Amino acid sequence: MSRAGRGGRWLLGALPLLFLAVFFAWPLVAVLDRGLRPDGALDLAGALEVLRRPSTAEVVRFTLWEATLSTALTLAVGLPLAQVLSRHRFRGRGLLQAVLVVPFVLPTVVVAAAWTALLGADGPLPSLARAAGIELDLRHSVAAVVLAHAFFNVAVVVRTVGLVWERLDPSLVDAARTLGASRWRAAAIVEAPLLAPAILASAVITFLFSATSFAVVLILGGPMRATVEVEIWRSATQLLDLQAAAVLSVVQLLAVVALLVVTTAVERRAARSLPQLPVAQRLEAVRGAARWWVGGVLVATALVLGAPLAVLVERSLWLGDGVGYGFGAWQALGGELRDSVLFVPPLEAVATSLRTAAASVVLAVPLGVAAAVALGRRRSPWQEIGLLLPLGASAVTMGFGMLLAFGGPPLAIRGEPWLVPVAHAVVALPFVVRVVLPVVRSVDPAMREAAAVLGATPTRVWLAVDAPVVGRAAAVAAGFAAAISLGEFGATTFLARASHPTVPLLIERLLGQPGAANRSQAMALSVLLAVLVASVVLVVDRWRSSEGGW
Amino acid sequence: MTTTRSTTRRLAALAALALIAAACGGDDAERSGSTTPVDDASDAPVELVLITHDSFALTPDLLDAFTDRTGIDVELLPSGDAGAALNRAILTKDDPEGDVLFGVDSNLLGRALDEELFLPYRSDALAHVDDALEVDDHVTPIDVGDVCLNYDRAWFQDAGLAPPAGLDDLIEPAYRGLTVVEDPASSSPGLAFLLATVARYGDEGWQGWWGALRANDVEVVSGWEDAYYGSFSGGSGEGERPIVVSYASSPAAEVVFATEPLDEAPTAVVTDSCYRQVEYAGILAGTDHEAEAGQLVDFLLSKDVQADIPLQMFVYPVRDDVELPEAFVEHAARIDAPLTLDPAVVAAQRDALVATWGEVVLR
Amino acid sequence: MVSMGAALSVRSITVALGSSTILHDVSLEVGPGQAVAVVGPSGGGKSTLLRAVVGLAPLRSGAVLLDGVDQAAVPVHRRGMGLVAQDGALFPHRDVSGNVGFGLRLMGWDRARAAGRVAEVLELVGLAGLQHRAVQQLSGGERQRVALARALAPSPRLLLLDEPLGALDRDLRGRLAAELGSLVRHLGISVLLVTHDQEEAGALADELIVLRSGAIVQHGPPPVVHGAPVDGWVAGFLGHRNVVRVGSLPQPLREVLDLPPGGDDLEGLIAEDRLKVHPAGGGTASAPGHVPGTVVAVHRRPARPGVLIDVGGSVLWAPVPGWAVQVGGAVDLEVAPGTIPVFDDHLPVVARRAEDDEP
Repeated sequence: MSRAGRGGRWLLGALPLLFLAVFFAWPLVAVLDRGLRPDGALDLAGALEVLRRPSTAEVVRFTLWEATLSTALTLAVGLPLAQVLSRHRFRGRGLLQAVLVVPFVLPTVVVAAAWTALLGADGPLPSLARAAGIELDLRHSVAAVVLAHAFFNVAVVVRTVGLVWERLDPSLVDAARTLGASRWRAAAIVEAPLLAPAILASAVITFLFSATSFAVVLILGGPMRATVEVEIWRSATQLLDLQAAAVLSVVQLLAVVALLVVTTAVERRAARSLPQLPVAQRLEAVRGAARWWVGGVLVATALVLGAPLAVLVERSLWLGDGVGYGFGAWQALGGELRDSVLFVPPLEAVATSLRTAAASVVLAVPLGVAAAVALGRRRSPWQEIGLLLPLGASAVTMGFGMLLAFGGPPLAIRGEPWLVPVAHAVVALPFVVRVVLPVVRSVDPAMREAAAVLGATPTRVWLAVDAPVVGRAAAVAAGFAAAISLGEFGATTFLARASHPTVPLLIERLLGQPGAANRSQAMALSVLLAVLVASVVLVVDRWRSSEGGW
Repeated sequence: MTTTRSTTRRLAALAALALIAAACGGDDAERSGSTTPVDDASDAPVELVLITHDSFALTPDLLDAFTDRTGIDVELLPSGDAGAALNRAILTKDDPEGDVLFGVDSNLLGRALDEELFLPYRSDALAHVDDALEVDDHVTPIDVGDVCLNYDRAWFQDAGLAPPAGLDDLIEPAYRGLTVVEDPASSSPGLAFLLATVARYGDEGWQGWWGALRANDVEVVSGWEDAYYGSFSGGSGEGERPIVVSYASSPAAEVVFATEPLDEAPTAVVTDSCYRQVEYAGILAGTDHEAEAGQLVDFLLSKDVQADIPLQMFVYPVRDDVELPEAFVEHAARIDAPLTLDPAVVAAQRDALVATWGEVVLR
Repeated sequence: MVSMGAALSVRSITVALGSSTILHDVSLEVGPGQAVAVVGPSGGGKSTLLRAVVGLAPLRSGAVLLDGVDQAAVPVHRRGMGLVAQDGALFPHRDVSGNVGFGLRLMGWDRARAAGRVAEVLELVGLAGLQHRAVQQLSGGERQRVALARALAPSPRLLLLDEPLGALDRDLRGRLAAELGSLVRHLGISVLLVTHDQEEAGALADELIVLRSGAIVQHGPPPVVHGAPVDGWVAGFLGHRNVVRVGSLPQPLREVLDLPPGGDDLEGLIAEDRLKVHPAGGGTASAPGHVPGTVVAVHRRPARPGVLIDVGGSVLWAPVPGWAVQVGGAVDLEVAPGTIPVFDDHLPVVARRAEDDEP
């Protein structure tokens, strides 16, 4: 048993790494090799020239700056919401938790359009400001980029932190309060340190997503502002300068590794087993002073998250000047959109998206949980960083890399339809690890020891002690993995077959030409995608709470 | 607990299967098109992969008819915008993803030829094409499109202002704050419009014009979608500026893709501002089906496809013997004297022009 | 270091959660330096009572007064009450001294002064020198002592104990209950204790309150409540096992007990310590108050030893005698004469008489 047990544990850690080695590292190496050794020899002078460009320093500076601001705003919006959702009971709570994930998957172009409508000169915010005598145009500003990033990533914070928060024993806060700490003080000196690993984990993900975000910066930031990712895309696809793209990719990767080295070290020091309740804490009814707090947080959430979504719904019903509102675009979704080769009926694209999402969940969740379990017990920071690296890689780089690596023997798999869910799983895997790992680490070793002393085999110990806790985290991760897959665009454009576009690809195709029908159908399809994602997450949540684990 | 274990096992088994499938993927590589030689090419139906940009469009029946007639299956591979599609092809030159590449425009042609991407081919159908469009025997012209300023008709009517007659008007005080253009560094119509100004004002004058436009409060956005849907006020645009850089055919698309039938396009084209782009197709070196690939190029130049092009891709066919659809004739602007630049000049100066433009307009 | 405890007055409080009432019109007094224990079954509202007193559970009506001052407007962290939760609720991210000194630092004490006080209270609870131990490394008993030290450090004038020893095993619980009792008396602090274990209550409290379904059913000094429960339920809850229908008692017993006339349908409580088991045929069988019986069962477990004896019509628990009894053997049972409590209720006391409180 012990030999088999050791072999099993080795496999647990090795499988996810093998997966990433084949589908992440190899393509990455292939594309970097092509870029850095254009003529078979390392062109150091050329690489240095790229590094010395003033624009390089500028994009690196801007990337760090906007990602830091975005992370700060996302935490500022997300943490109060995580508190409200983890501690309070109110009508629509479950729905809100599901809807939060929606922004995560919406096509950037569509979200950008919604934000543009809100922030443009005629939008509600600038109009209010004008009434107050302030001229405010937030289109193409850092503020727009940062707001959109918060919009996209708030679910990451709410869900990752909420998972730990809802099971954090509330008697700790009660104890602190009877010892003289106000509610806020108790949150700061008792809850915050205990939630620190989860907060840090969500902050790292948010930072990486914001730093490597591409379309948001390109569209909302305007032409003046470029992140490293935008510059990579521009070099690779517009300027046809693969060397610059490769050098910048290396810069980005090194920065990500540096960030991960620091944060994993901090997280390891902060990680500790928590006094957690076996099931989610019974939620408090909202009353008294809490009414103002919960109400305020929900109103703020509705403004930041709800307004753009409401705009989307409104736009999907707007059929153009002189026509007004109607359900025309929605009715069109039931049939063929265009009699044209690259178009498929929307319902077919929905089916493709759902199949792809299911396949990538089946790949990413078991591999991610296996990796988290393997990592949770061992101190191997490099392995951990390796598993998280795909979060910081550029989608364009990866897309080109896969084209290069899988074009010929030994792995001539380019063009295989299953490469799409595999690529989505590569993106989702680090996410699953990030969500599950803090939970695995928070399991009290005393509980494992107690079970072991009672005569349980290591497998039984895991099933009795870890599995119920990990199961809930895995469910949250599965919801995210499905959402990531449903919304993924960058890598999909490189890998999907023309005959089987996913919903985001179809939306892009619609928006490629002018016309009120194109615009309203793209908006309706985006709302449909949003509903799809919310439903998937809602189902996963229901299952998670009804099952109470696995 | 039993269910827990079996679920875990089943998931682990699935994951392992996926990995094995990945490792063995080389065995069934026949599906990935031309990358693996087909042993008995005589009998097996040939499958060609046609790489295109994302804006490629065609009536599906035409493609089916081609397959029925020739026995050649065609798989389409949309690969991003024109620039991205070309760079993908260059990157995978040694293991090409497909057999034919469609969508290399005049501005990208120099780079494509430098990389020796294509095999020489001359289609018989070129007899019906203006000789001026034939620039190199490695590529075949398929369609012609113009990037032009579009304007919002209703806006100018309401404002009592004459629509701009040409590029000169844009820097007049009356047109202050009315124009939105795309960044040529990230957008292909943006680049075409920059080239239009270079063609119009010459090496000496274009920077001055752009400086004046900047002073006249031009808005610059990253891409066509953001410009047209986000900033432009006309047609299906939802923004506030009545002048945008788009295509000569955009007014026709507004009519064809209207939600209710329209008698008249809500937008119109400034005919004096247009820059012509020709889109070419070529047979990728490294194809195993050169003869069939030639048939596919012929197909793109066939009368049926050429007649289909206007209402699918909203550009003009290169053949002079096809009849244009009514909606197109009525609403798309026919540009008789477009601005052009020599592709060789574009290839040589493009990066420098974009960089200088950035200095003048953005910094 | 004797400090004067505060006087707590709970006046007709009602606490509700949603539509269900947890506490209904509860009033009680804890005098300065007095210790009051609230006992009752789980889910009876005991913990909620403490949470209401300390301010963590909002009152629907009624008032909580400390030294005559209504606490309605005083937030939890300003009430200056110490609370020891059932599982200790120690902060896992702080070591022992970080936990014990928590309240002191919040009061603005500097490090050195707090350290002195921490050492002092740790010594008081018998954990001197454990300042830098991680709380995860403490045993169950040590955790509760640290929790107690943490609550005592800021010198509260009222200490609220929520099942402070509930998580511990029985031996340890008995020993700690005694220590805790002498400690709070020594400190002169007022104590409101909640427990389901009356040994704990007996060791600590001057006054016993029985709480059932959110309402107080009996209160008084522990010996009084124990000796004279108000009804069969309270008797059963307090651990009395001989609540029997008066009419079913054998005649020899009825003769020596002062029973109300015509009370055959009433229930009577015969405390176990009134019963004594003699060997059969010892010559005393015909004396007043003696009745023959058969041993049904013998329980020798240390927690609740007893002999179950069938006296014809009734089965009574008696203390295990100093000689060897055998199941099925005949014995002579003697009851001490005098008055016994009788009550008129029809609760299924018999069910409660079983050893349902054994672990």
